[in-house]
Amino acid sequence: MAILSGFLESLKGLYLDSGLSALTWQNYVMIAISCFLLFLAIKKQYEPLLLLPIAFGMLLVNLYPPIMAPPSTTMIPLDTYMLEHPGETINYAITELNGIQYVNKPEYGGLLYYLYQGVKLGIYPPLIFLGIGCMTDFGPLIANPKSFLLGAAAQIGIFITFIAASFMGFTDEQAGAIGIIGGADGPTAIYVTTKLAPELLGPIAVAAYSYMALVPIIQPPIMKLLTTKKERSVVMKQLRPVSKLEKILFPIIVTVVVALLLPSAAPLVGMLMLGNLFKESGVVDRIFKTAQNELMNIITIFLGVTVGATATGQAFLSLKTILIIGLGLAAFSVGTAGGVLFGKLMYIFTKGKVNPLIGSAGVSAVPMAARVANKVGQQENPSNFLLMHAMGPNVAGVIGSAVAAGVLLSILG
Amino acid sequence: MNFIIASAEPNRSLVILVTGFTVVLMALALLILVIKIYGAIVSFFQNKSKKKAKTVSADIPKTALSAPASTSTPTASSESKNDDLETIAVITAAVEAYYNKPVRVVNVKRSVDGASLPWYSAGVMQNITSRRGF
Repeated sequence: MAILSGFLESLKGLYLDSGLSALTWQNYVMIAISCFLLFLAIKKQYEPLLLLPIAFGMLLVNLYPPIMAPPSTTMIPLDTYMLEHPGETINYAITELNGIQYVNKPEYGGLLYYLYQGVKLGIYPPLIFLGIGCMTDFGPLIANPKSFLLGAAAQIGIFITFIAASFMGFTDEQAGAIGIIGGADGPTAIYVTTKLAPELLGPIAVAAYSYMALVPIIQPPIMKLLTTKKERSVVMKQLRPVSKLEKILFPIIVTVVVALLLPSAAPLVGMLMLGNLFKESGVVDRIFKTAQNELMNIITIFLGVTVGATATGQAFLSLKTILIIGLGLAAFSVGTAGGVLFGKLMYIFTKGKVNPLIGSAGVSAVPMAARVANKVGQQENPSNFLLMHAMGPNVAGVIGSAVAAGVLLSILG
Repeated sequence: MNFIIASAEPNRSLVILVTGFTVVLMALALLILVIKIYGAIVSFFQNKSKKKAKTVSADIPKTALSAPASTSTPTASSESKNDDLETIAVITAAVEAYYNKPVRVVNVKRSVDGASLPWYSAGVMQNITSRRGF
């Protein structure tokens, strides 16, 4: 009988320790959502490099919430501690409260809590930018610097969404973090959110990366709606070749200009340009390869898993999240429309030499947005290759969104 | 969260919209200016050095330049003619495959602009498509 009761007690203890008793319905909903995101990442290949670790981080934290728990201190009465650990030297601090002495026994935080510090302290996003800089060819932008204007015009989505979010009752800081989704740049969105509204990191990161993956679905209808068949068929002149010296000088000059004007954008733009200088200088091949491969991949894993781990059921399942998802879509759409409309302006001023479709690539989302512009252009004229022309506004959008982030941080931070 | 529509300060939001967008536009416009200026400077010095190189090559006696041309044998020239014919055949086949109908290639021009070479474009396209966004 005693054995049976002991067995049942053990089973009860195991059950109480397990997630089955500790998890709430919100956690189960989030587990279902994370499985859906895993499906999208693996089966549909929607931004799998980030969506997969994000979804898995989400799954982990909702199955085992302490994996994200911060370190804490348990106060054990001194007498109790000594009874439990006879003859042991006490290595912990002892405090006295109401005449009773307590041993402050530290409890370590969860694994993802420590990895998350790279996000919280704003370390990972600039390091991701370093890798992106190594992968980016700014040649099309240098060949056609007017592309910068398209990259700037597409940032209108950030600021329009900021206003919309403010009117919906979000604080200015939260509205700024939501608006930055329109920059279509994951690391920038994460960087700004951790500085302005860290409590919204989970929904904003998921919205930003989901919409980046959905660029081929979101952008074409807007592009077609705002342009005529004639405008979409414009074949642009070949870009001039860019010399190596120009490519080497570009990251240095951009860093100097941006860091002087907007110091708060310096971590993002500076690292982006450092990566690019690694690439273009051609003298640090080893570092260049490491930054664009190993370092980038390691940081991507840490960033993805830990950002996903912020999406606990309690934090994610709220009206706020639904609003953020809606506002994120609006930010993306307005940004795309802003770029295309500015492209139309350029089409008029250049007397039909600029295809307005390339303006849509100003929302960054490199290189997906440029590929979409190329694809939509080829639907009208299969022999029209807009890819290199769209890469100009596309990489300008990366710089533009980092500058917009700097502006928001300067005003709201 | 307090969802009161009127709680936001419209003036402040508008100020942030106008300031933010203007600063982004101005900053990037400034970058255009800077790039144009340094582009002009770089191309000025590169043209200067090219001109210098041309002057030096013009100074080399014509006999020295014509010497290697005279060494080419008739066999080599007929081989290169053969190669040309083969190349034209390959190009014709490729164009035919692209248009999926019989074609006749009448002229092949060498592109002056390196960036417009099909191999260059294909390489860039492959490079871009092999990378996904981060």
